[in-house]
Amino acid sequence: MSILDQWSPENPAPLDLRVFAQVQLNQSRRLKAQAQGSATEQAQQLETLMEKVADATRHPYHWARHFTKTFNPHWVEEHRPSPYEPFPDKPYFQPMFDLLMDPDEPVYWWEKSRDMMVSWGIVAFFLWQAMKFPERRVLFQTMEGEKATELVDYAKVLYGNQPDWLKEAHPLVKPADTQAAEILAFANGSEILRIPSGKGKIRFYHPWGLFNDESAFQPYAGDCYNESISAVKGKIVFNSSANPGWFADAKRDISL
Amino acid sequence: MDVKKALRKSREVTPQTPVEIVRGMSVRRTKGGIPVIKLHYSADPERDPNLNPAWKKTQRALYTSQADWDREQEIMDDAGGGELVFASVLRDHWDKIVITDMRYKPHPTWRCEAGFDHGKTNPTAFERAYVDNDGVIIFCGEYYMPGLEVWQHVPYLKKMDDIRKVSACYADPSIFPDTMQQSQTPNKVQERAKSINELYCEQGIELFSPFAGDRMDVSFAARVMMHWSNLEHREPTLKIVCRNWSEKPQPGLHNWDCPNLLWEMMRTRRVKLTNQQLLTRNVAEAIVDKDNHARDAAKYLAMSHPEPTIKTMQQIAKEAVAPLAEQGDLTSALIRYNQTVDRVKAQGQPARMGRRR
Repeated sequence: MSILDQWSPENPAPLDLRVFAQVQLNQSRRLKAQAQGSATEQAQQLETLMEKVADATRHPYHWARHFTKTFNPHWVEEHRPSPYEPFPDKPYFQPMFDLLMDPDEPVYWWEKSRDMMVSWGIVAFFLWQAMKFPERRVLFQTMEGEKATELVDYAKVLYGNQPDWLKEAHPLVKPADTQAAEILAFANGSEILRIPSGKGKIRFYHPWGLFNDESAFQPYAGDCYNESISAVKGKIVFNSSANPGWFADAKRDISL
Repeated sequence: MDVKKALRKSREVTPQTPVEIVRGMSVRRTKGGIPVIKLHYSADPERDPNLNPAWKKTQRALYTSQADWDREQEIMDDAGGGELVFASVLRDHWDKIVITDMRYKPHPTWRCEAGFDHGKTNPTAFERAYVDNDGVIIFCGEYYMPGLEVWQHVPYLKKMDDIRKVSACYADPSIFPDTMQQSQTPNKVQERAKSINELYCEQGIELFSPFAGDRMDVSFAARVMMHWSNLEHREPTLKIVCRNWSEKPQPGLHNWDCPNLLWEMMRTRRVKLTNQQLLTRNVAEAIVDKDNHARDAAKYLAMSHPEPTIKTMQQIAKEAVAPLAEQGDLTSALIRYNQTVDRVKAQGQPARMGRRR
């Protein structure tokens, strides 16, 4: 027989005991209501954050222009206020990202004047893809290993210069500065990987994207391109300033 | 223009036709349909020569050569690969050197000679030329085809007009040694190694003789420039017939034109040395060993120094009587004809050596 069973309307408990019980009950009700309110508030906050993240990453150029920064090593010489600045507001960036986003065009060849920030733009596009979509492997390839590492560095700079809430929404497997120089791996399974230039290097992988930079300066760029056709299932971008060779001839349909 | 629209339009126009997206940015497609995006510095308003001409002026001044500027900023792939050897003189005297008249045909009495360069993955080139009575070499007809076997080239060569008139065809000496290993099947008599020329002979092309003269590209370039020297005051002594010029090669049989020879000559460059090499060497005269297949075939022919076609006795006599025949003085024409024939015959007689009697 429980202690509570000895009390009834006909045989009420002493007043002090009843007051104590009432206080306990009120307190318990209040805590329950508070917990319920807090959960709703948290859910609302989370929803707002997700909307904010979705809005920030709705288009790669919108994200690149407003939510990250590039690194300019010549900032002192160029009288810039900081080495880290957002993508500049040039009229060609929006169409550039629109072109890259077109789902009907899996391959692009870019020919450009020097110092137009095209490499930064393409890196930003691929980084955006890796952040947004799970299990997206992207390969960066260029003339020599160090240069390709620099492209991975571009990606690390762009990732690191985002607001914290964007970084938290797209977490890495471990902090970027503790990852190897040639890789940027995400918790969602995506990764950006540097590979060496040359024949047969892409064959080991089945990536979603390939960015081959300064293609006109790579002796085996033609072989790399032909190998990438079957290996890459998403986007292939070859980009270069001018130089005689396979890339120059292939762009102009000079092939024998 | 909207990106979607530009991409769609680039599919509708012929390959290599640029469609502008924004100023300085265009898209064109290769024959295979790959979009090529060109991003010129004029896409940046700060660098656009129309809006800010000072940028180009200051930046150009920082580059030490026009070629470097053209390559780095103007997106000209071929710029700065070394000095162009023939392009400027060809451009300046195009109308004199390149025969573009659709009705042009070489005279049937001119001697026909040819040059040949065999390639396996590289193009095989056969250049046919005529030598007129003044010794002017006129390249008029070519076969240019990469990637085929000997037996596949032969039907094209046999189909070429005037192939039976070719009196001499000089070819790369390397096709004459017996270096081509033949198939060795078990239980069959093993075949001996053959030369590439022998493979052509087996297919019915017994035309080639090894070129034994100066094969250096530099010598050929100097020779061609002699043919094209002082063109302000004289006619060139080496001409190229081309009525279908294009900025890219046109593989196949061209019976009366040489578009590929002209294309290769336009691209011929001298080797460019690096700054480090220039510290220890003189400026290079060597010519880049690339796109030189039709050029090599032409080299074997031109460097054989072909003699002018000698006029026949009838041709000389015919030319001598032509003015009289035009005037209707047929008696004098007959007399002049006999005189000319006697004179030409006398020229061929041996001179007497000995004491005067």
